[in-house]
Amino acid sequence: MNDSFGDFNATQTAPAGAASNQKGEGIVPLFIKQIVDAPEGNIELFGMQFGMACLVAIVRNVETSSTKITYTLEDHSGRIDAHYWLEEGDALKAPEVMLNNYVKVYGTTRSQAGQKSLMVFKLLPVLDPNEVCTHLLEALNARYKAEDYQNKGGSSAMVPDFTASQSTAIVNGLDPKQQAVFQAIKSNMSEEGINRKELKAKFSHISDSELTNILDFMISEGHIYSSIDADHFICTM
Amino acid sequence: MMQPFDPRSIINGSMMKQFAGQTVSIMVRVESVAGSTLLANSTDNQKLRINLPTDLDAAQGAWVEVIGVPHGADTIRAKEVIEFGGEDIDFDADGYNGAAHLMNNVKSFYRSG
Repeated sequence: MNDSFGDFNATQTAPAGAASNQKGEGIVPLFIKQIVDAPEGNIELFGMQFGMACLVAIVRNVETSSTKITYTLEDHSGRIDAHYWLEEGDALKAPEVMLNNYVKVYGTTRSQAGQKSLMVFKLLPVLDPNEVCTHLLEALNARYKAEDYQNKGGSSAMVPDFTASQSTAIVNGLDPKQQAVFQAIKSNMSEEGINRKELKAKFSHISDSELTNILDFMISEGHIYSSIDADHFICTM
Repeated sequence: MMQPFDPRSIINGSMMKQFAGQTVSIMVRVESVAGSTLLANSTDNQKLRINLPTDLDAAQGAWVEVIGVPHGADTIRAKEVIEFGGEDIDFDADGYNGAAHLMNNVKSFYRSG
């Protein structure tokens, strides 16, 4: 039997537009069973790769060695070991945890001899039961949104939205008039940006002084800046 | 020594009967404690009687998580009670009811594509 041709069973899952071996970014909220059941490799949900996972779990055991602290974490779905590596003199900076209390953990997953474990990036105590409930809802949301995204073909019209969306041009903190002026500046494709005369013509219902105020405000907020001179504007996004 | 792991379902008061005999996790608000019996209210305003393995020191009005096995619609034999460090927590009962409903009604959660 010739086994030298590699693994024919390896599947290449990738969202449209992404390289199949691209390292994921972002943090996905998960339950322990999702990690334990997952195949080896990067943290992934319906083809969407992530850099890190977030868990909310009860600390059942703490074991300290000279190089690391091993926490046994448990949520309703399973148990997993989480390793917190210590650096020189770190023993004093190790997170303070209470046994049989909830913690929130950020970290990456690791497979060793078929066993999954977590490499802890950050561990914090949970003092508010609302955090536990929020995590349940976030994990539910992440799992179903990821499937949805995959089903919609991963088109750019549906950006996975576990955090605040960046895909729309809507800028927070601008009133409708400011928003309209901002859009006019943004949609101008020239190198030097739209000039004040053009803006006045577009927004003839806005007085000169009001337009100036709007532009000054947006400059101070960092939404636009002046380019070749004080009368040409480009947006920062 | 750690107890062996037992998966549990996240429920509220109205789901108790459905999960009789199974391990559950339920958030409750302490009404009164007398030795090893805790009287508490669920997030959907069901009065529950919880039999504790050890005495509990929780304050009236505190929210705690009870892990145990329901017997009938209003009694739980608790394996443990998890307390939270914060004080005077404004626990979102509606949010929890929604979460408990979803956790037990969504399809194929553990499928991963």
